[in-house]
Amino acid sequence: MYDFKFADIGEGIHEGKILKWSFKVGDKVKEGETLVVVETDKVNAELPSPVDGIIKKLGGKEGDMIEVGDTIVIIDDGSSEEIKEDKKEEKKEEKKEEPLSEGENAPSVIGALEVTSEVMASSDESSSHKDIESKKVLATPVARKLAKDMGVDIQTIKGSGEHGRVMKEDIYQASEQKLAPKVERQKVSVSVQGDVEYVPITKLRKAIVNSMTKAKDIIPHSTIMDEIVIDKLVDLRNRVKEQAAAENIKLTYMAFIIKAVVLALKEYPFFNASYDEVKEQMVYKKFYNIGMAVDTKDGLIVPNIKDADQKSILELAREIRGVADRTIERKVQLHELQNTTFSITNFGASDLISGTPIINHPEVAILGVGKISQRAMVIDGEIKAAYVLPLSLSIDHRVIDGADAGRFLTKIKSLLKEPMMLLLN
Amino acid sequence: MALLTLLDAINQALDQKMSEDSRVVVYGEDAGYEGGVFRVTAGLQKKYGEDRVFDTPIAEAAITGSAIGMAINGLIPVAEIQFDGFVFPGYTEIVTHMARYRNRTRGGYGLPLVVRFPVGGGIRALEHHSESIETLLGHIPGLKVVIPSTPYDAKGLMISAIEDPDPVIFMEPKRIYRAGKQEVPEDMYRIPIGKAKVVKEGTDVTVVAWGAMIRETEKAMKQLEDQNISVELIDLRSINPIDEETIINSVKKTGRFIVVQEAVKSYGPGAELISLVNEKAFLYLEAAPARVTGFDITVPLTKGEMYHFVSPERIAHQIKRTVEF
Repeated sequence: MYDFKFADIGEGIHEGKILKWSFKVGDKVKEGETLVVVETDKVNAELPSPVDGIIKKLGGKEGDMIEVGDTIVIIDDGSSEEIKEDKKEEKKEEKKEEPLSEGENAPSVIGALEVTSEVMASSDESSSHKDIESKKVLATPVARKLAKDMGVDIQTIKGSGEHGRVMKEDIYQASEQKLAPKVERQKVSVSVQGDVEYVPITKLRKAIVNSMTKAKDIIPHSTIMDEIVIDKLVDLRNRVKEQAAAENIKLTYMAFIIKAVVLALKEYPFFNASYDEVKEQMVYKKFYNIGMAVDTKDGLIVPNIKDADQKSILELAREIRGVADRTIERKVQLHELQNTTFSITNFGASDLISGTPIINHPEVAILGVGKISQRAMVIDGEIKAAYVLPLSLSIDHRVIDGADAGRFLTKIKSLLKEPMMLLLN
Repeated sequence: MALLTLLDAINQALDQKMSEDSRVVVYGEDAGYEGGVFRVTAGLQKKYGEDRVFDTPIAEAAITGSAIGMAINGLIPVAEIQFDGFVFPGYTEIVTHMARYRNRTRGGYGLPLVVRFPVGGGIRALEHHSESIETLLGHIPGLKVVIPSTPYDAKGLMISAIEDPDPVIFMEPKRIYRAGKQEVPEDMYRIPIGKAKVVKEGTDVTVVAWGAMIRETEKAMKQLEDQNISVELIDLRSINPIDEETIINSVKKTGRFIVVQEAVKSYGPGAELISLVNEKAFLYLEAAPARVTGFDITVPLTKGEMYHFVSPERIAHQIKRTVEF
């Protein structure tokens, strides 16, 4: 059986009126013969039979309206199955015969118009749109993104730009990060060709990476260098180191140097300080925790000697050894690493004359101590063999001027040159 | 008030203007005796006779060219081009003469005429029957181009178009010719050309659409109902001139802007509207202005067209993206 529905006849007629049947029930029909003439809007469409067969049933009388989807005719084509409708689609053609002059209710002859009786809300032109004053602040998309990234509600910012436009500077101020780096540095990948091995870095190394990057990002460094003849200090140490050893203390030069540094810090307190760039204030510290860079097999660690100003040289010497040992064994406590106020790094320990140390942020300076060695020096117009200690001092040049650095270093030099002054202080 | 379809409303506007003003003539391919392929001009020939409502040969250049001649000589022609894709043979007359009369006469006189035709796809038609050519007409100085999205607007805009002293291109979104009915006053009323309409007020995002896309955008808004997004929907209604004030005020309020157009993407009305927003409301923008458009292809035939046309889902997706930008 073939169920011939009034469907897509290629151009989507929606409904039509059965105008004239060419066959009646029981007639034989050949594929392609006109079955029926259906009147649509403006044309009468002749619908050809999709198959050969015998008419079994007509879908309506002449004059009846049929809609898309209604059965027009059932044809016995000898098959037991229904044939899919698609096959017939292209075969149909509509022909413009007796065009209609009327038919408002019928849709088009071309295409399938959606017909609904859905009622739309009525238009009301009288309630015209009121112009609402914009409550948005003026800002470029870049500024809006910046505010969003910085977690600032841009709506709360009073802009300083033209017509109150919120400028980037306003946003920095609002977030109290006025001097924060405007653009975070892009991480840079490394591509190497050849025989290489990739090894993940340790947590300690990551911490060093971060602190070094931060120090160099934030602090404009400047390093000054000098050297001093420390024959008297060498002499003093040689005289007392046996006694110290008897008390199980290894008396190093570092103990004397720390003592000298603490005395210099007391005279120049802005070296024992930090700079708060958000508040634009100096933070002077009333305690003296002197950091020492310690070389461990995993990497650099900087523990500190707490309250170094309240300790004698022997006490300092004992503590230096203790802290350094614990650090090398990785047994140092967290608090021993925190709250350093000024750091010293020992290039001499690596058999180096000098270097340019990197400041341990948020400190503002660091002293580099070089290798003590006997050198030919001109003293009182004569060349003499003398013990020479090279010193280098890196400063945060934002808050410490070069002349201040010179004075500070001179103070240290004078104390180390005349070590008795260390004892008297 | 009677409930009319968009198509009925245009028919009523033509009928009422013809009845009121004997200079109005209506013609086009099948527009006379048969009342047009979609029945927009049905009944008019019977009522006003073959001199005022008549069929033309299949010659669009003649249709648009003769409209110019009639307008110069005192008539008010409302010429029908049967389909959007058939405008092209008549395009030369429209662009090189019709659009230029006001300028050519140094402002002396214009051409009071209307060229109307069905636009857009979505009705499973054949090639040249589904095109959105707003850009090709809106780009031409000297032409006013309008497109209604509701029966009410259709009648009011058609009356304004016929009464306008210069040429008006009246585009009829065929997809919604009969999709829905609306109360339309029996009396004549006018909707000013060049004035957009705020269909729904909102605070989070401004969506500008026109023609059949209003309905699709409303469907998208329905899909987003539970998402707590306040959409301001503006029906552009007039492709040219553009109602800058309504759009810019809205964007200043919402800070976000989306254009929904059925037309293909490149160089479309969306590009123009986004430029406008960038020029006039740049400092208010919270998100990159976006457009939801057809693809840059020839409109597909029946089987493929719904993959091409903007769907409510695509609109809803863009609204979410823009609001979450």
